[in-house]
Amino acid sequence: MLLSTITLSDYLVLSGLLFSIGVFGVLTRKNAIAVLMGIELMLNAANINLVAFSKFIDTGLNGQIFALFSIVIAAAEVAVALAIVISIYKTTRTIDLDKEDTLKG
Amino acid sequence: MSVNSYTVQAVFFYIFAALIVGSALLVVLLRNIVRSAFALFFTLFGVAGIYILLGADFVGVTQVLIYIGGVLILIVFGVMLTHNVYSVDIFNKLGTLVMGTVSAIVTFTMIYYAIKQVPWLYIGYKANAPTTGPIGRELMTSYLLPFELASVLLVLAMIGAAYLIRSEVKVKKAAGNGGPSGERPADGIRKED
Repeated sequence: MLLSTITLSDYLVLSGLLFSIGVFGVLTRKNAIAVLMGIELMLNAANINLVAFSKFIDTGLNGQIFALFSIVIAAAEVAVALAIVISIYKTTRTIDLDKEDTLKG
Repeated sequence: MSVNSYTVQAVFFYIFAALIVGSALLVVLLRNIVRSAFALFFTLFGVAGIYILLGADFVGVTQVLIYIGGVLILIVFGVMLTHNVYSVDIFNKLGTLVMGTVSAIVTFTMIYYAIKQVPWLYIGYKANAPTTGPIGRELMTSYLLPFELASVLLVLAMIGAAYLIRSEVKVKKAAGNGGPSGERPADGIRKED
């Protein structure tokens, strides 16, 4: 039967796929905000892992609570990262990561 | 549980998985960054669906509230404030594109074989129960210190973000050269405080 029971490894494979797409986005995009979107994809992949382990392995709620903390930290991270990006944009009028080479010696 | 409910679960899993993977590919491949942001909306929504499919109703609702309601709005604002929306040249050079593709494929292959090699122990079917009450109890007992630290972290991030946006104006005024962007109507207002 094609539609068998969905097990833990199916969720983990989905999470790995999402993570790899995020890696691709982070490595190839030029726009700093697009890179941030790739990081968000990777964080979501990690959260899927945590919640899936909470369902299939752990008997308590530890995985879900870890996912909650991870979401909180992702929100803080994106706020600070966007502040940095906008600050850089105000200074240099570009968010092209290839042109941000002020610190290059 | 009957076999029928497993089939329904599988159908929903594949629907959400296709939604997540398809829209995530759109996020990284679309050239218009505004369209990427809208594709990210569908990815985050699909992840919320996966959470609810896994019986994590509270985490799913939190995902909708914080990621879709907060992070995505922030990103859209970032896009609008900085925009170079219609620039065609979003991707890096071809070499970087090839290297990115190769590293993504290698990463996925490694993860896939690691997952397939482990004999995961299975604790049997766990009935879906409401999780909001137990999560609240856990946060107030076993996870009290991380909970408080998370609130401190959020305050720090908020102050830090506000400071990062503000301080750049002061530095430029102190430097006196104005930089490449001298136009800001808010400068006169900020001088008072």
